Amino acid sequence: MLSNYLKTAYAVFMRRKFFTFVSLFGIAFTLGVLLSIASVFDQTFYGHGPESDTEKMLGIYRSSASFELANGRTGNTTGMASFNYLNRILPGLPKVELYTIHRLPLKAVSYAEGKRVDVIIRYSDDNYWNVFNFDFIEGRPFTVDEMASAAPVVVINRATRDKYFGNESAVGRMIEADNKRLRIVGVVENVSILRYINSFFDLCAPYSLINDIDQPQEAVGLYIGNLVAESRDDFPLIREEVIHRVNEIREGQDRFKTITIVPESQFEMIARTLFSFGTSLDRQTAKLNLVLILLGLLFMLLPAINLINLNISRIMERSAEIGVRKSFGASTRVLVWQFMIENLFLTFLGGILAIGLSLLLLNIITEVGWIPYAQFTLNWRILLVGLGAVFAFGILSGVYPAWRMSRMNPVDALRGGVQ
Amino acid sequence: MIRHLFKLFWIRRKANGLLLTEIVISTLVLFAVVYMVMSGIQNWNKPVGFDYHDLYAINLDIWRMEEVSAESAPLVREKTVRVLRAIEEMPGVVAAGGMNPAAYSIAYSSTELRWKEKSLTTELTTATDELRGVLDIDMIQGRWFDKSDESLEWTPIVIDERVAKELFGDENPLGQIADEDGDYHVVGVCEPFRAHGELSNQKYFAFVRQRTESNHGNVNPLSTILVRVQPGSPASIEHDLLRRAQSVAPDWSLTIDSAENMRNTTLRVAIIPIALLGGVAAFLLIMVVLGLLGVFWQAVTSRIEELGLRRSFGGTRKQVLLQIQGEIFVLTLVGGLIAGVLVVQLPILGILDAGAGAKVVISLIFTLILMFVMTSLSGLYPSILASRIEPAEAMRYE
Repeated sequence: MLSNYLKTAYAVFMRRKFFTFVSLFGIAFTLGVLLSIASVFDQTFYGHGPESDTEKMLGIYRSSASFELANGRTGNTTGMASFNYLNRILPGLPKVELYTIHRLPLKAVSYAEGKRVDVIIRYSDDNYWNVFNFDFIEGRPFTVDEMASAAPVVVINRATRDKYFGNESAVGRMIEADNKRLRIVGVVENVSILRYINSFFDLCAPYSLINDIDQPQEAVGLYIGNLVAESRDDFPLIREEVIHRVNEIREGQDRFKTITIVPESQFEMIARTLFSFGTSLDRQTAKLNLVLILLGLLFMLLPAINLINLNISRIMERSAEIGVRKSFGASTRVLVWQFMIENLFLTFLGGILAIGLSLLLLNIITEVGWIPYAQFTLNWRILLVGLGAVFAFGILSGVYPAWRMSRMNPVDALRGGVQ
Repeated sequence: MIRHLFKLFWIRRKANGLLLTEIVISTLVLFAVVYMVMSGIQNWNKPVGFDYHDLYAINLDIWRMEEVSAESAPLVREKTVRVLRAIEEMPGVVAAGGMNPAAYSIAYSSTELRWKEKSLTTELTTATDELRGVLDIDMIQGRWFDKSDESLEWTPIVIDERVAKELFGDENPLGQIADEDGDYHVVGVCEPFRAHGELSNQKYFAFVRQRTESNHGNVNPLSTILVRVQPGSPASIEHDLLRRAQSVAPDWSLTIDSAENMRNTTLRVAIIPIALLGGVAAFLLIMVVLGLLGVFWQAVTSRIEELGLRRSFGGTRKQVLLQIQGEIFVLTLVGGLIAGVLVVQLPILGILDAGAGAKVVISLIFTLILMFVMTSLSGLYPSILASRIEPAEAMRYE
């Protein structure tokens, strides 16, 4: 039966090539844009590069503190966490295998042979290289001892090496940056700037080199903590323990009314930032997912209506066929099914074109370099989203025309359709 | 003729319903793009209040490097001022002054200014006495800050013309107290100032005096120094400025950027989303034009009988062509008007500000003209096809 439907569909598509072209153009474009957005999104929030194995990782990306102002009102500061808070929260957490503390990468200036080179520098501890899985082109990460003795060493990325030394080996050479002379010990592969928070940098040096470890009392600073749990099942326990420790520190300080610090994923962090600064995560991620799906559907609305109109036109043209099918006893349900399958078939074809289109688009974005070091690709996660979009689009644009088709009076249909 | 077309539209309203929806949504999408571009052009043509050429920003970012508390603040402040003086004395430097957040920086801070019953969310920046000379700020009324302000019990502020108009109306703003705590005293009014540059739609701006010798409530030291160098200075002056600043404060990590560079970044950040949205909208509209072409084409083929009848009763080719185009025009007009009614609600409901009313209307008219062009373009081939119908053939059709 199905193969019959597909054969009919093929015949219909080939008969009016212009309609087929317009329909496919619309579908491919719509789904192609959605796939491209999904790819950028995927690179921002899901496993990529050094963060490809982050199943068991949580991060502390945000700290929010409220305090009483002199005039009795409540003030609020929000930002990254402070080093001192992280350093008191993270050591010795139960069910945690590894943790790292690093500073948000900041811009620094260096001049090489009179030429200005802008670099983004991160300062981290030695565990950073164990938590994240960097791809070393040459050399090695800095060690515990180098960290402890504040050795002026640095790991750089490929782009920085190319800027300074061309294609030559860089290990052992010195560079000047952020007002320091640093010895290069390793070179890593470039990481997309979309991973700015955790793993992007041009230069990464031990944080023992800098004297901007923030004020002991401050809860908000410039630092990020990441931890790797023994298993995902331990997440709730770890969260509870972190919240407990934060409250203990706060009570010992008598400075803040509330402090909100929650270990979470970056997606959860965005959800929490958008919807409230509370500590609950599940409902807010669900909300963010819902909002994203709604935005996707909204984007599909105009193309879907366009396709509905085209579909209705096509049905009018096929009224004779429908009339014959009906007068020979085809039920409404059979006709609706036939049309839905035809439409899904078309959408699916459009989806395949969309893959090519989005690869082209992503390639252009990668080449133009609007987003430094980003290498956009498609993977099974994105294709799964694409498949969902194909079905959503096919159903959205097929239901109404199918219903109109099934309601045609066979006599009218045979005579050429109603106006 | 027109009445006839509306009647036809009404008779076919059920068949036209979805087409109408498509046109309404397309109009809304097109309006959004036209409105964004219009706003961009409008903002671009407004003066920003300063000149970005030969201007550099040295970032001290003190809070990254020093513990700023009530005790340490005087020391930190004294050091920042030493950096400032050292830069001022360099050859090739016209003027240097503190400003935080700096012009073209991505950071911004805002406050609620209040006067009598009115309150106004205003962007503000701290500024030292020298900043006026650096940015060449034009005063309309009153004065800029000076050294004698150091001993005041309150904080002097300079508001820009737009704040003065909005908050004080016809009253003289000079000497008025502009916040709840009674700390901000207006001492001057300057020309409109837009720290985030040409494409920002920032509306109100004020400068608060940065103290350089004493504390007054606010312990924050200055954190960005803007430097105006002589026109035609070589690019290497950037490195010289940084080295000089660094030599005064060797233990701080300082950065420097040219205003030109920061401006380019700001513009790119503003333009890329408009370009992307515009590109997507363009594709959506191409798709709509092609889709409508298909629909009109099909409509014409299913109406061969009717149109042939008209021809056989003496209707000319031109009349048939005009009829089809007229029907499309009416469809677009009705759809455009529905979208227009929706769009006009935006300023009324306060989603776009009330002042944008004129801009909304102009964008809407422009949008409607574009829509008419687009739909008649997609109706062109079908209506030519319709005009070629031979009466004899048409009557034979059934």
